[in-house]
Amino acid sequence: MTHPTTVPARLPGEWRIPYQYTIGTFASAFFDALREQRILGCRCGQCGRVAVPPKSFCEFCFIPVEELVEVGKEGVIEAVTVVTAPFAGSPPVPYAVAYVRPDGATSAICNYLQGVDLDLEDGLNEALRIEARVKMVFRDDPEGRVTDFWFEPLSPAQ
Amino acid sequence: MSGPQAAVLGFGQTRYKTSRLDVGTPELVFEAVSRALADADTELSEIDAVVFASAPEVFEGVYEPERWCLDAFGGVGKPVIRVHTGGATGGSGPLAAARLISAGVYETVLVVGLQRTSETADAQAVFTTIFDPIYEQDVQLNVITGIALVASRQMKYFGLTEDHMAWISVKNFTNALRNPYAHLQKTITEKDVKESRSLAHPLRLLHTCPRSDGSAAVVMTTAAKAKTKAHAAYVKGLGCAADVYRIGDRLHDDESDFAIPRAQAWAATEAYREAGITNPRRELDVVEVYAPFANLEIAYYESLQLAPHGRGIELVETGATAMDGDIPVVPSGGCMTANPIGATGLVRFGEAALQVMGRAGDHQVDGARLALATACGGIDQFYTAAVLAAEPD
Ligand SMILES: [Zn+2]
Repeated sequence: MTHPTTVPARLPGEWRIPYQYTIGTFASAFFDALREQRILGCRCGQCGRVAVPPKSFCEFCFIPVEELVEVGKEGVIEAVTVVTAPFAGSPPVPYAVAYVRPDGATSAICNYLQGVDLDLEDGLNEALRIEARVKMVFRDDPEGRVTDFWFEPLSPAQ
Repeated sequence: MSGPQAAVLGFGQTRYKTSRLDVGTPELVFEAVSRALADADTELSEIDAVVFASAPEVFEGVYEPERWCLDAFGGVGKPVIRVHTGGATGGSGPLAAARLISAGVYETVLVVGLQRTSETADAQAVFTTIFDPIYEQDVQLNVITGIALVASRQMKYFGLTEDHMAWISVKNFTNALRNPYAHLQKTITEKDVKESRSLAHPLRLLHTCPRSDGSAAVVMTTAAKAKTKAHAAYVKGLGCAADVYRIGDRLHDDESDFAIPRAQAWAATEAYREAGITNPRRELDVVEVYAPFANLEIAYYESLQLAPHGRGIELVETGATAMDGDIPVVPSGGCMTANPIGATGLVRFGEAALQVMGRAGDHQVDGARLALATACGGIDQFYTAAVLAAEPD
């Protein structure tokens, strides 16, 4: 009579599947504008909400949205964190991530927040507080990705 | 709702661990299902349909786990339905089963939950794949980052401090010491919590949950059939609701504050209405909330109407949700001490059933007659709520 082994094994495996994500004309326009150092949202013709980034419908009114609008290159922090524990694929820690509501928008967009001392010894830097104003800063060599811009404090608070 | 009332006959779960190296994934499911059937005093031949609740399968690394595990949950020859609402999946499973029973479609339904989080080395890399690839994946959003962003607003607007979060962690870890199935069984102090490794400000390691391998199953049937069995918990009210996808679209007006998840409130309101509950804080005896982070449990106190808006921290300051408080929350230790993600909502549901049956063992809340179980998924996007009672309607 044979019994199961008491040293169970594991078999290595990996998912490696390349994709080409289709983003549509609204997101394409957003990335084109980023190359010109502008931030685009969309305005709903019925409720007037300005969503950033833009999409071709309003989930509140449930109707198509046609109008792209430029929003401010400054905004306010709505939520913020400093990531201190790295994970596979993460940038070097620490780094800050924030949701920022651009001036003229009714929603917030997520991106890295740079140009701030991220040492947490004495708590979160004052420039990282919710409601603090930030500016969008744009890459000189845009790649057509959301990381073509990031946030920085409006007045460096070091 | 009209139609037969649904009831829970039995609950089976596995001992949660980082890795259950002794069993393959279908074998893990078989273990939970066998225990649930035995606990329910029900034969597999009495099961009319199976609801399989597992998500996301990027953890198992096998797409369509319902296919892989079908033999192991006894699905051959039966209707099999898979539900998938992210982390809330384990809460959506028993809701679907209860609705099928109350609609008269099936009499007896098996609900099966599964998650193996240890098959891949990096859970947060897995979680990055559930985000929008156009605007969010490049910023490396993941669950810890997302919940840290929630905490940033709780701290700014609702008085949350590290002290409140530390109290929650100590409460839940202490409760888990009395639950033989809990993954983490260790005594911790508030000092340990405050000195644990920082993950994403203000979250620390001991504010979060472990990654657990585990499976759970419940057997549900009609109240009429349940009355012929030795023990049962009765479904009094159910609710579920979903919110908009983008976090940035949930931050735009007063009605929607990312810090107090409104979809959990919508789900709970529906469940309370069905159950005829008007004062949940006074009427509920015990709550099994799906809160994998200490700050989320406090946010849910408000979403679940256990505390007034913006005053969730008061339940911490008065100790109301401790085992000896007037509304104990997660006597099992909850998902901060065991989190087989897609199965976790079903564990909350099963634990709530055990409480009202008076069968929760060392973590039984004395005299519990009315319990609430919740689930959340998709970074505060999908929510469920279920009210279970000791007596049929
Ligand atoms: Zn609109």
